[in-house]
Amino acid sequence: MSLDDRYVDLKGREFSLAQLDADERRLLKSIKQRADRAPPWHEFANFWMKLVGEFYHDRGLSRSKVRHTDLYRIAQDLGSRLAVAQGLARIPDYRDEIEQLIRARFKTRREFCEATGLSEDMLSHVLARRKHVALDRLNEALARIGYMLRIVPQDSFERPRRGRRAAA
Amino acid sequence: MVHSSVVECSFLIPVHRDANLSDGWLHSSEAWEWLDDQLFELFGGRTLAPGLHEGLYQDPDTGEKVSDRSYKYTVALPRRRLKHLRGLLSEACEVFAQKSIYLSVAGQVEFIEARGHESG
Repeated sequence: MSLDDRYVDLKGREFSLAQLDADERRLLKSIKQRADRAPPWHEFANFWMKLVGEFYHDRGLSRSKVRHTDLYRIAQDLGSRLAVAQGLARIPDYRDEIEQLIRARFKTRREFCEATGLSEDMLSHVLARRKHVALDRLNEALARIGYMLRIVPQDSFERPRRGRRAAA
Repeated sequence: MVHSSVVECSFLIPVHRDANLSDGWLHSSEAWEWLDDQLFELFGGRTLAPGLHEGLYQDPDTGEKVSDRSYKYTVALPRRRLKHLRGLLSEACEVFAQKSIYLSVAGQVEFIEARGHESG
């Protein structure tokens, strides 16, 4: 897959643009062009959701399916980039992912702590950005509930070219 | 066509997490995306009003005056679905680390709190 055929979001998730059909590609192109002009975040947020919602509504897709389409997620990520660039949001880190995991899979923080072996006090400090949890400890805790840490590509990072070596 | 049973609701989401309840940081983009997803799936979308809305309120726990800046969301929904919006905003209190969220239903104001949170 060439770099032009992929989109990497702020969380390092990769989307293959080759999977989009011609109409989806056209729509994505116009959404990207709008984002490139750096409009205020709220304006872009209103723009892409209406456009993508109507596009898939016309195709008979339910809303729950629409929000899992690559086009929806890429448009949303373009909006998130604007929010970050305009100082209205920050890029999520592992603590945000833990919060999201607790919301999605556990009724309470206590339940999460019981399942992972992390203490409630420690979790509270970590989620309030007062402390970090050691990598091996976190990996061990996540493994207990079927999750793991992973290193993902950072889209904005300029990668060194392969084959180039520093002069001796 | 006029839908007489549809009401306009607006609510405010501060751009920072509550400093007393949490760390006072900006929300992560993931939190805003979560709200987008919920509003899209439940109500088919939302409208974000331009600009940030300045607010000043008294923290019920500390008694301190707190100022914040919020984004204003508007959704139109059938009155019978108000409970879904209230439920969503209750969850949003946790996601956005807020003690309560200001909701206006056709001009009538209420404050939605996180589930299990008792007002003092």
